[in-house]
Amino acid sequence: MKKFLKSIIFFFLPIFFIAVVAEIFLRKIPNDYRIKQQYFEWHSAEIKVLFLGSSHAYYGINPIYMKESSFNAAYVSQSLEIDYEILNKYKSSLKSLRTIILPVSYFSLNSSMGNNGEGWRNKYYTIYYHLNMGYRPEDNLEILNKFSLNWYKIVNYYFKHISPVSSSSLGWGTHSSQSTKSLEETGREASGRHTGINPILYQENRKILDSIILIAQRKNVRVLLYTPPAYSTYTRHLNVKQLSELRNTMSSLTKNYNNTTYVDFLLDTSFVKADFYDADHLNDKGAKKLTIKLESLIKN
Amino acid sequence: MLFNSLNFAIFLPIVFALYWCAGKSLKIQNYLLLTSSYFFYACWDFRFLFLLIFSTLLDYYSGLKISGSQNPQTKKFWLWASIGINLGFLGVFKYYNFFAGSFATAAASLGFTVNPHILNIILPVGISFYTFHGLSYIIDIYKERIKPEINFVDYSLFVSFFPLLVAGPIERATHLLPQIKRSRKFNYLKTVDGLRQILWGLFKKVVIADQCAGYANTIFDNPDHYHGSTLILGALFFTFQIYGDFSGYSDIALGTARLFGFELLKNFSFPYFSRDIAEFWRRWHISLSTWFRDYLYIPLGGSKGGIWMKVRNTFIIFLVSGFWHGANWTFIAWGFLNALYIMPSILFKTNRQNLDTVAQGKLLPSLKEFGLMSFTFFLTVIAWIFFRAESIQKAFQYLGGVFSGTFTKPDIFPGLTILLVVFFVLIEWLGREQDYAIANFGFKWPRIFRLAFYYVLIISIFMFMGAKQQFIYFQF
Repeated sequence: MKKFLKSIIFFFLPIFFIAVVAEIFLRKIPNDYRIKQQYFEWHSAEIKVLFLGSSHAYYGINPIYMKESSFNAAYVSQSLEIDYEILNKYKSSLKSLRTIILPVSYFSLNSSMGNNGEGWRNKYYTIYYHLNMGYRPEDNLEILNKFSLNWYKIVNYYFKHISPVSSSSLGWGTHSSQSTKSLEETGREASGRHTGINPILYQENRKILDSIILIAQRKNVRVLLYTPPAYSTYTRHLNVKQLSELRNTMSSLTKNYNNTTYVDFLLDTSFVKADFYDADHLNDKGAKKLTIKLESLIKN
Repeated sequence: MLFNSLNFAIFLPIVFALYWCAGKSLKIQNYLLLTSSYFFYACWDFRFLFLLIFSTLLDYYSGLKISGSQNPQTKKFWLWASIGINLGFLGVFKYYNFFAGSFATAAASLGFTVNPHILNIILPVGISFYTFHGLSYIIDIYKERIKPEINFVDYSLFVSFFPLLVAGPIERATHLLPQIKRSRKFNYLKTVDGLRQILWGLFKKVVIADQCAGYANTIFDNPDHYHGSTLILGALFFTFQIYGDFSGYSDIALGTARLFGFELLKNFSFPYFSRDIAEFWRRWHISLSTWFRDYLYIPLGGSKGGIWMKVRNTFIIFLVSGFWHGANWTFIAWGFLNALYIMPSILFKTNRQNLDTVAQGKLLPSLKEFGLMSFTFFLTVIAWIFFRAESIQKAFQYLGGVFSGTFTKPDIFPGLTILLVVFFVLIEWLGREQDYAIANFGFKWPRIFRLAFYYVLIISIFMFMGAKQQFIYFQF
């Protein structure tokens, strides 16, 4: 037994040492989650319009074009349950809040971060946002999720001096590359990835939407739900049943809650090829267009 | 608690330390293992722990009653009571909704409208496995192959030993119970070997299965979005996903059991290097295949009653085996397809011609062996499409896409994952004559190189740890 203990300590010691050092270094790298969390800590009382949602809102809404004090708290792969957790955490400090703008994309009702292969992002919400994401010990450590990405971040930040931060001071996401991706290829790929009806997740997401709206109702805040625009190479592959489920749900929500409105931009032809980064994400130009449209909607 | 979670990485060393600190007291060791096993199971859902304990109590008591009675009718009563209740639970939890749905569909096709009551229940994890443990125990007592276990703790540990509780291997009382009753001493080499097998199992699960799963899921979820070449890639990804997932789980289970001084039944033996389907089934999910052989195929008459009985019995065990995997026609189709595949070797009595390891003692197979392995692999991949598809219709749709002739550049081509699979197949090939691929891998190298190889495996496990796909066989 002594020999075994010696061998095991000898074997695992270098791994343990590297893990501790890597964890410390990783936590020192600035990231979008920490920046957004700090914005909430320092400025939540000033926010009048709050944008939540996934990458469709993160890249698609630039609060600089809003007249009222606005903040984009959306992020890549951020699903409805996280939107709810963020709102729930800061609901009492969002003292000036008037409008919550939330994208409900084609996939939103049938997916969650844990089920679409993006569950590793839970760690960021646990470590930096301090959200209660359910107990998973590995969510409390950077190194135990996406080691390859962690390694890439360490090399980029400490050796190449490239920051992983992609959001503006108001939370809008800038694409790492300015060149547009193939709309044909990304349309087919993304629509495939986003298609799938999951009745259990649908029920959960429906309840989450109700909870978000109820929080807003209690604070006398309006909720604007919208389906973001997408290019035809994406929309032509969509499942009709899934799409009608989304529209029926939106219609039922707007009927049930008088503080809630819904706008569907999915097939909005005013968004043209030049507005897209890829088939389902807007570029800077598209983001400006969408933000201005939303601004005019909340004004009315 | 998943084997590839941090929870298990904390749980295992604690149980291991307590277990060997218990010293020579077999009683304390068994109590500790049983408590840990129940804790392990309760971490998933404590409510179903009561079902597990009830099933254990039922089989324990039935075993005593069967053995204690001289009256054949009483023996038969307790045998069928145990089988009936065990299969009843399995039927309710696993198959009720399937039968109700199928009945409604059949009635609808005859013009009747039936609205069956659908149960909103989850499948208790491991129920198919521990039910089969119990059944084999009861049948063995009835057939007087074994005596019943008097010690309830020992019997409970046989049913609930945590490494095999949720996804096997399906153990036999004749194999595991004597180990539970025997004094176990710490063995350095066996413990290190156990850790090595756990490492390889984790690599298979996290690096191979989980990486392949992402692409397989994307392609299988929307096959109409992709060209034939991509669909072929999707089927191959699933082929390696299911092997990496289940054999990885089995390796972790066997390695974990070895840490506590137990040797579990081998469950996989490099099935993708089989030269025919009969050999494949001697190498894939061995503990289930042999269970069906011993408790279904042989009682049905096995191969004694002539060729037609052999054909009938083969179809029965493959169809039941398919159905065991899940309440869906796709699994039955998968079983049927495998029965068809194996038929030529049954009819021409060639099913036992490849009993050895392919290219034994050689680095490369002969051209003939390579051809046979490739053909068997091809048949297996086709069958996995039925296993993975959500419905028979979708499986045919997928196959239609594969053979549509649109062999352009694949829409998805993850070079790194393909490279990892190639590396994995290479290591498996080199280690095919061992118990598991890396059992003796690098033993002739300087120690530092062997350690470096283990570190590479550990680093790659860390690198790919985020995907976290559920073990496929947990749902069975």
